[in-house]
Amino acid sequence: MGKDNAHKREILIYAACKFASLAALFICIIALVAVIAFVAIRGLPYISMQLIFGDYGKYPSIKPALLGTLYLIAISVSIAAPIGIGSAIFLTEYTKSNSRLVKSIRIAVETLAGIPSIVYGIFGYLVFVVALKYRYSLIGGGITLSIMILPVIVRSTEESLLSVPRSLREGSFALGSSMVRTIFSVVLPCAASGIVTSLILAIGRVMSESAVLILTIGMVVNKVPKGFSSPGTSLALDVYYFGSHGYPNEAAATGVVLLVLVVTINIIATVLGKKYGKGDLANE
Amino acid sequence: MNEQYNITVKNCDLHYGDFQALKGINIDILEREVTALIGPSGCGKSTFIKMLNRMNDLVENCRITGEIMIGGQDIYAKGTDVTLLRKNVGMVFQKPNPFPMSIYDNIAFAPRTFGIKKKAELDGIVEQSLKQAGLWDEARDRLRKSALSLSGGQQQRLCIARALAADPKILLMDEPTSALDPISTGKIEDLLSELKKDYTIVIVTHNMQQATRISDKTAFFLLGEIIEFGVTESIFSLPKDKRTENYITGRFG
Amino acid sequence: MPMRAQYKKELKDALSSLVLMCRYIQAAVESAANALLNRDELIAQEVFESVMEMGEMGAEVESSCFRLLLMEHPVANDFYEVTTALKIASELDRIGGQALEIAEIAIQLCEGNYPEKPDLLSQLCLVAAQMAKDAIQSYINRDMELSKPLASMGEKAHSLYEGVLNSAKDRALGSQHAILAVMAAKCLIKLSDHCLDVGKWAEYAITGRHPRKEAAK
Repeated sequence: MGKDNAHKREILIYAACKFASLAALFICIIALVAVIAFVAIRGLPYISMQLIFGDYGKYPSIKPALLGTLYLIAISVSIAAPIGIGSAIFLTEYTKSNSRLVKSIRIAVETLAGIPSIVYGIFGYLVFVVALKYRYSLIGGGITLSIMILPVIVRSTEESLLSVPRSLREGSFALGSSMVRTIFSVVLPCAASGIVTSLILAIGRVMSESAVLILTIGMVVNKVPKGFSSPGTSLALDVYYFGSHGYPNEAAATGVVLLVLVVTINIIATVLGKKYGKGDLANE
Repeated sequence: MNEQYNITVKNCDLHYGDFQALKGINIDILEREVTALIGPSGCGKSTFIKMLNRMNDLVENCRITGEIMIGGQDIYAKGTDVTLLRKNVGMVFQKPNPFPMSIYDNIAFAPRTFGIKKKAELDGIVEQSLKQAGLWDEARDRLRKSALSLSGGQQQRLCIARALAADPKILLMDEPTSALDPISTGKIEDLLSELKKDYTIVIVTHNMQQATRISDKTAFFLLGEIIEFGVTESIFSLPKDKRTENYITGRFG
Repeated sequence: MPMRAQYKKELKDALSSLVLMCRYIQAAVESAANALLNRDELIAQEVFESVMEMGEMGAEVESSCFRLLLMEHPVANDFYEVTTALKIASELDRIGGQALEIAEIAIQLCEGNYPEKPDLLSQLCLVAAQMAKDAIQSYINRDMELSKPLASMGEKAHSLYEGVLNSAKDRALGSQHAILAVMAAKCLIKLSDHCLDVGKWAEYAITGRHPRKEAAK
């Protein structure tokens, strides 16, 4: 009989757990839907050609922010990608996996990932605006962002390099290939989709970052940036600016634009990861 | 192939850190013969063949003493060109490991490493290697398709073709059929009897029937030593060492 | 490319030398029977020639069969082809031995110039020769129809043999002649027994089942 009771209790616990996790999931979805719906309802009616493509004059426009965001992506990815991929290659291919050097580099990278973005912001401000006298500039913000996304790129690139089977490297070496040829002709092509995915995710981070930029690029919302060294703004900054300077509707509309872009980028990353994910793991 | 491509190993020891994986190995492998290496798992067979193309260089803390001569040259002498060594001593692995690129690019991989760029020349090498590996008829119409679209047995023959494309003198094979079905295995065994006309073949196998079917000489490894080495037929009919007999008859210990 | 071409060739070579051996033996038995029937010394010489020519063929077939078993591990049809070949080769060697002895006796009979030809012995001789021919042909052609009558022919041979023994007692030939006749009959009956075995092994080569075991069930 005791056994029966125990069985009943188990079923009960199982049902309770199932219910609790379902409830959690439900809340999670509600939160997401609520955010999207709220922003969309508030913002969609105010999206107009003037807002997105018009010149900033009588009515506000996010054209400077779109261009600024593009500048920031270009600067930060072109700096962070080679350095990040390079360090990932060094970590996976050239070092013994349990050496002290690798361990300390990993700790450094993880720490870099854990630093709050406002700290990056103050760093960028002190270095580029104050010390180097760049004033507020896209280049200063871009470089600061590149440091911030570096750990993202290093870690996910490292992961996709590690997922390339050892047997492929051995196969290449056994055919007389050098280390360099093996990395460039076998390992990197295999890991390419993983690396591209990591870059896209990094772009997402750049687009949605605001704290760093407030302190480094100057939040000049009404002028189209003239070049890397001019001050500027980004989409996320515009949301903040509109929100705090009496344009709540424009803030919501900009929020919609930002949301759409970030979601699109995440979907592209997922699709790429799935499509080429199989090719990566050749024989596993 | 005019040069002699014999393999001569004298008093060779190999350590991984504190562990001695090979003890006092002495063996003469003659060119254009198939030499089978048999023995229980972990007895040093794979370690031995990886020593012959210096794949053990990739392993940490691997120390080798003794003399290993291939084609009259000590392959562990200072200044040995490991790239050239691996070109001459091809290797096929246990699991087929085609690169995730086209069939053509897989085979052209080694020739491109060694600086062959002309398309006509590469085409010739690809065709020749695929023919040697008995894969030409199956692959000729899909050279640009991914090598991963081939079946397991075809992939392994592709790997053999890829090794042959480097124009090696010696082929090392580490249990090349253990992951394959009997038909694919049969095809590869047939292939070996063709290839031994032009190449020296050293093959690790766990399958004793396979050793008798394909090899001219057999070496029995146990705990890092070569217990017995000789003509396959006499090893399997009149083994000189009791341990060899126990192993090949399936009675251990 | 056919699978295991080398092995198939080795198997084929072993089997075709066995067939060649069959033909030599059949010729030898035929000549021995003729020599005995016709008291012909020249024909008896042919037996020696056939057997000489055959030489070590039996031993060669055996060793290639052993090699195939050891190195190639034949199974199913190939397995009973190889094992049958081993058995047939040794039966054929024995049949050849009996043929030689018969030829020697035939020569002695010729030299002795014995008048009468014992009729039963001639019949036995014919039966044995026929059995050898049928048994060997049934193996070469894998023809069960030829091996089936062998059993009854064997019984007939045994009763003829009894007859030869009795007539040797009763009719009191010259003692030397009687001894030779009995010896010849003994050789013929042994020969026919071997032929019976060849027939059974031929059946095994075709079906994979040996008739002796079937009978035991």
